[in-house]
Amino acid sequence: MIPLFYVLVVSTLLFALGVYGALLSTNAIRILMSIEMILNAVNLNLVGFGRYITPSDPRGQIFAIFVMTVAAAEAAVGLAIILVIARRYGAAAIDRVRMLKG
Amino acid sequence: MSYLPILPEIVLTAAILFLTLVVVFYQGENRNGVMMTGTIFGLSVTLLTLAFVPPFAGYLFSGMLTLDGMAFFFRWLFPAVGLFVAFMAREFLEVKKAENPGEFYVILLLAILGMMLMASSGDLITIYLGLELTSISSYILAGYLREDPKSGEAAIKYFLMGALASGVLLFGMSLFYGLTGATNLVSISGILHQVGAPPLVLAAMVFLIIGLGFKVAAVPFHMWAPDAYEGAPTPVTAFFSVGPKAAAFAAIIRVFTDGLSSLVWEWSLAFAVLALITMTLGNLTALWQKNVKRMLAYSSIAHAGYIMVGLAAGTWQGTVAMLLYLLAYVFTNLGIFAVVTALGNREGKDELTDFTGLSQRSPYLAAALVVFFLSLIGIPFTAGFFGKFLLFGAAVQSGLVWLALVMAVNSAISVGYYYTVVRNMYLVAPKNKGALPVAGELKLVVTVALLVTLILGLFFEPVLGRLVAFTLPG
Amino acid sequence: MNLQLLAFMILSLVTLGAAFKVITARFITHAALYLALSFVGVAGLFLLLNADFLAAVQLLVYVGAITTMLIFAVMLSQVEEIRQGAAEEGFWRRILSARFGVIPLAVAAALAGVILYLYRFANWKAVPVAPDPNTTRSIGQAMFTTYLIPFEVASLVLLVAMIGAIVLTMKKEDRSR
Repeated sequence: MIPLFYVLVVSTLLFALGVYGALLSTNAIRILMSIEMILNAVNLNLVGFGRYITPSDPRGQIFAIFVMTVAAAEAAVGLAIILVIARRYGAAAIDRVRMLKG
Repeated sequence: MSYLPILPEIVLTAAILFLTLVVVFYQGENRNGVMMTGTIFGLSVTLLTLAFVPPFAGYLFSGMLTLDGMAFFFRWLFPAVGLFVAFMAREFLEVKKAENPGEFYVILLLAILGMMLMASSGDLITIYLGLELTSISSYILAGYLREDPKSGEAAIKYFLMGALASGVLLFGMSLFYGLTGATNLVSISGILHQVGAPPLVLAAMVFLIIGLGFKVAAVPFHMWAPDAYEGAPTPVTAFFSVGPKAAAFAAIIRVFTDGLSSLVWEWSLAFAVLALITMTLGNLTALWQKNVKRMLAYSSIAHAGYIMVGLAAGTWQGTVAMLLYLLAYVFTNLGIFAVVTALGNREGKDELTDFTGLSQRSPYLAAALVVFFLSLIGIPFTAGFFGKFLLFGAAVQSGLVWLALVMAVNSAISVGYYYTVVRNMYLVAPKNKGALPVAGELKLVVTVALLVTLILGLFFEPVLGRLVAFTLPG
Repeated sequence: MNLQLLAFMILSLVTLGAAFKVITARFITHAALYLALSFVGVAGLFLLLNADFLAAVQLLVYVGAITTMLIFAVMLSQVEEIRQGAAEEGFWRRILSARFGVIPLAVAAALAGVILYLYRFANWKAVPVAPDPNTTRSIGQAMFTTYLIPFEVASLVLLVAMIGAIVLTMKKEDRSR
C-alpha cells in the first residue's frame, strides 16, 4: 500500500512544474502543454483522494473524467486559436507570449 | 426526480441544438439576420418559460443544482444579457465582414447556458463544468474576427490565462475534496464547520480565490483583461464585461457563502484587500487610456472591485447589495457598449477621439451615454447610485468604514475618465461631420438600457424588496 | 521495499522527469513526445491507485487524443519555426534572465514548498480499505444517475469545442460547397 502522502508529493511536484512551465515559456503551444500537466496533477490528486478518503464512492474518479473531457475540449479550442494565428501572422506571433506581462 | 424546475435550461438547450442545425442547413443569403431572429426567439421563450414554471426552491439532481432566490435572479439576468448582445452583434458582424456570422449566436447561447448553470450549481463539479462551458465559449468569441490581428492576440492571451486560472481553481477544488471527502457545497460546509480552519484549508481557499479572481479580473490577476477587452469584437467585449464576470461572481457567492461559510472571517478579509487594490488600480489606470475599450476594461475592473466590497462585508446584506449592484452595472454597461458599437461600426477605431462632437452627430446617443456614466459614477436617481448606496451600507454595517470611504474616493476618481468622453462629445468639434447612422436594433438596446437604468434609479424600493425577499436566509 | 512501492517510484520518476523535459526540450515536437510519456506515467500511477478505468481513459484521451492533436497541430501549421522551435530562446538562457527566469521559479518553488509543508501536518482521514474490484461498474452507475446533469453539460462543452474549432480554422472556400 502506497502512503497517500507519496501520491500527493508527486501531484504537487507535477503541479509546480506545470505552473513553472506556464510562466516561463514564451511559446503558446508549450504553455498549453504545461497547463495540461497542471490538469494531470489535479487528476492525480482527485484519484489519490478518491482511493484513500472515499474508497467506496467513485466521486473523485468521476470528477477526474470530467476534467479530462474539458481538458480535451479546451486543448482543441486552444490549438484552433493558435493555428489560426500561426497561419495568418507567422510563428513569431505565438512565440512571444509572456504570461507575466500585462 | 422532476425536470420541471429546469425547464428553462432545457428549452434553451433545445434552441441551441435547433439553431446549430439551422446554421448547417440554411444556405440563404441572410444567415446573420435569420440567426439573430432565432436567437432572440430562443432567449425570449426561455425567459417566458422561466416566468411560468412554478417556483421551486431546493436541491435537485442529488444536490448538483441549487435553486434559490439567487439562482432565480441570475437565471433571469443572463438570458436578458444574451438578448442585448444578440441585438448588438448583427450589424457589427456585417460591418466587420465576419466569415461565419451564424455560429456566433450558437456559441453565445452556449456561454449563457453555462452561466445559468454556474449560478444555480450546488456542487463543485457543476460549478467547474458551467465555468468551463462559459470560458471555452468566451475564448472562441474573443477570437471570432480571424482577420483582425488584435482579435487573435486577445483570444490567445485570454485562452492561456483562463486555462491556467481554471487549473489553479481546480487544484483548490481537489484539495477541498481531499479535506472533506465531498464535492457538494452543503456537505463541504457541514464538514468544515467541524474541522475549523487548519492551514491547509486556508491554502486551498487561497487557490479558489486566485482561480476565481482571474475570472472576475481582480487586481493582481487582471493582466489579461485590458488586452482581451480591447482586442475582442465590441459586442463580445460588452458580453465579457457583464456576462462571464457576473457569472464568476455568482460562482464566488455560491462557493464562499454556501460552501465555505465557516471561513467567513478569513475570506471576507481577503476580499476586502482585493477590493481595495482592484478598485484603486483599475480607476487610476483608466485615467491614462486612449482607447475607449481599454478604458472601459479598466473601468470594469474597478467595478469588480466595488462589487467585491459586498463580499468583504460577508453578510447577506452584502450579498443583496452585490446582486443589486450587478443588476445596475450590467444594464448600464451594456448601454455604454451599445453606443460604442454604434460608433465603432462607422468609425472603426474605438479611440476616445472618435467621440468628438457626438452631441451634434447623434444627440440621443450622447445624452444616453451621459446618463450611463452618471450611473457608473453613482449619481442619485440612477441605478448605480442605489447599488453603491447598498454596498456602502453593507460595508459600514460590517465595520468596514475605511473600505466604504475608499469606495467613495474611487467613485470621485472615476469622474475623471468619464468626463474625458463627455467633454469630447459636447465641447470638442467633431472630426467627422454629419449625422451618425445608427442601426435600429442598437437604438432599441440603448433605449431599453436607459429605461432600466432610470427605472431602477427612481423606483428601486420594490426591486430591492423583491431581492431581499428572494435572498433572505432561511 | 515491496514491489508496489518500487513501481510507484519508477512511474513517479518517469512522470516528473518527462514533465521537466517538456519545459526544457528545445524542439516543440520533442516536448510533445515527452508530454505523452508523462501522461503514460500518470496512467500507470492511476493503475496503482486502483483506478483501472481511468488509466484506460487517460491513455485514450491524453495520449491518444490530446498529444496526437498537439503534434498534428505543430506539423500541419506549415510554419517552419514552430516545428523547429528555433524562434524560442533556449531554456537555459531564459532561466538566467531576472524577470522571466527567476519569478516563475520562485512562484513554483514557493507553491510546492508551502503545499508540501502543509501536507506533512495535515490530518487526513485516510482509511485504507480493500479496493473496489468493480470501479468501471460503479463509475458507470453513478455517472448516469447522480452525475446526470454534469454529464449532459460535458456533452455541451464538447459541442461548443467542436463548433468553435471548426469555425476558427475553416478556410474561406469551405463554406460555399
